[in-house]
Amino acid sequence: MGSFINENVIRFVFEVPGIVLAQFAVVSVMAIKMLKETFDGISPRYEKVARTLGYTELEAFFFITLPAAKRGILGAALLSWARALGEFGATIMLAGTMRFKTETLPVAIYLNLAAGNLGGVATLSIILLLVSCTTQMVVRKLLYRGFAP
Amino acid sequence: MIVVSELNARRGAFSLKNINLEVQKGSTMVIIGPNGCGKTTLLECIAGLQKVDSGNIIIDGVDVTHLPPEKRGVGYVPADYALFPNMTAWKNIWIAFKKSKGLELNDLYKIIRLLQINDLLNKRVECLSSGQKQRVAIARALALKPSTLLLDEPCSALDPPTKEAFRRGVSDLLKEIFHEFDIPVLYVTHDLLEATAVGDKIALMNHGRIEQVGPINEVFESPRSKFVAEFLGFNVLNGRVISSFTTGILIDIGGVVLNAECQGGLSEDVRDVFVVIKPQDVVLLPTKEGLGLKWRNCHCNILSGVARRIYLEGSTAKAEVEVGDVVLKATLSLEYFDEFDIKPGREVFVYIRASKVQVIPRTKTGEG
Repeated sequence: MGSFINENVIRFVFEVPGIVLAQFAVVSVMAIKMLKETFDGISPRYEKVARTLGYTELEAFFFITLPAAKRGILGAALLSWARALGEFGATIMLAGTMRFKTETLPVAIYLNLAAGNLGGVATLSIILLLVSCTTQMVVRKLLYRGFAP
Repeated sequence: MIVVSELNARRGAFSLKNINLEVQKGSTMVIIGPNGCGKTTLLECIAGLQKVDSGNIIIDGVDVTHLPPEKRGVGYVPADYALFPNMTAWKNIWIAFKKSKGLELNDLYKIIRLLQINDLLNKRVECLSSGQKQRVAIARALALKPSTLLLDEPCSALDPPTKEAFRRGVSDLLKEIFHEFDIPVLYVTHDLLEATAVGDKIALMNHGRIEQVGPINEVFESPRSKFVAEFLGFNVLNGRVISSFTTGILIDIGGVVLNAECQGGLSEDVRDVFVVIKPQDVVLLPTKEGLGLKWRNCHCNILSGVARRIYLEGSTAKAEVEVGDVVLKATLSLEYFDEFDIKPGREVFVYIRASKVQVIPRTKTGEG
């Protein structure tokens, strides 16, 4: 099945789509868990009341529940992106370590370390650290600003 | 007008059984009962949020029993108000207004003015107090131009002083709403004071059934079952009919004999009864001679007892008096107890007019 997809549909192994697939596999579990928590925190009563106000089930979801979950969804997307940015193991297994082709930030740090370029390692590590910290701050501001889902 | 007939519905192990109700346009029916008796389930059935097993719900002549909630045009205010989060009060109301049929923008402003929420419109719902949320939730329900308004314990989230102030507010508010909208209102509560302040009619529920329904005065004057009398806080005593006369009956209540004027007449084969006496009809005095003129010529029970407990319940004082094997509750003002020096442990005389003693025949199941 894997070789069929690789030859006829889309090439994952040692290709850029491989990075996407690997990161999706690792990150999706966390994203789904966060989204579930967000939607669990929204009382089903809102949709019930919306129905009495003339909204169908689908309309109630799109006009009431989804806007109420907006911040949670945004938070889940940002945290998942930050987690994907630091993903190393699954990426290296599927997409390999090819310079300027399948070179993500963690892979670049690994390659620079292997080549003994410690200055490059430090620079890339600081970039990764800054991106992670900024994401965390944005997420905290989004999710914990006295927001009741 | 809303008519509920022979309604049966199940929610898990709980079920509503054979509910019959009728609320006219412009009047308020208060549904009252203990927690878990099915009040909210009944409202949800009318709103279309709960499946009905059998029976009919007819609103303005249209059978809505199997219509989805969005097609019923029923305004529903749940106990927690369920205002949509991360929206302003105005957006909450606007969401309902968008779906309303035949309501003009001027009418919407009239609702807002009526509920005095003009200054709250731009506030987010998280920033509103419970009382403000309540008014916004009522405005949202009215913005739909509903054919019926369902209010589920609207005062449950308020603290007692706010509740008292708002209770008065709600009763005035609802009367204005009737005047403006001329719709039937179903109001759920488990607070008796709230029920009397707000409603025209009252329906008492217990274990998924309606025990008694009627105008508030009628229900308070003649409770039809033991549950209703107990729920209203009356004295309910087990009694046995000793003898019947044309003017009344003699009943034994645990070693004490009471005279009762049985106006409706009691069939001759009835022996076991419940005796119902309102606490405010039990008058306590330290002597046998202290009553005024209006008591002299009336048919009156005078019983000797011992005051056991005197306690405050809100602004009124209550006493428990042991008479023979039974304990009677009496409601009087605290000054009265001070004036007549009635204290726990002291002998007192209990005066009860025979006309104030109600008798409910006891059925085979043990209920009245």
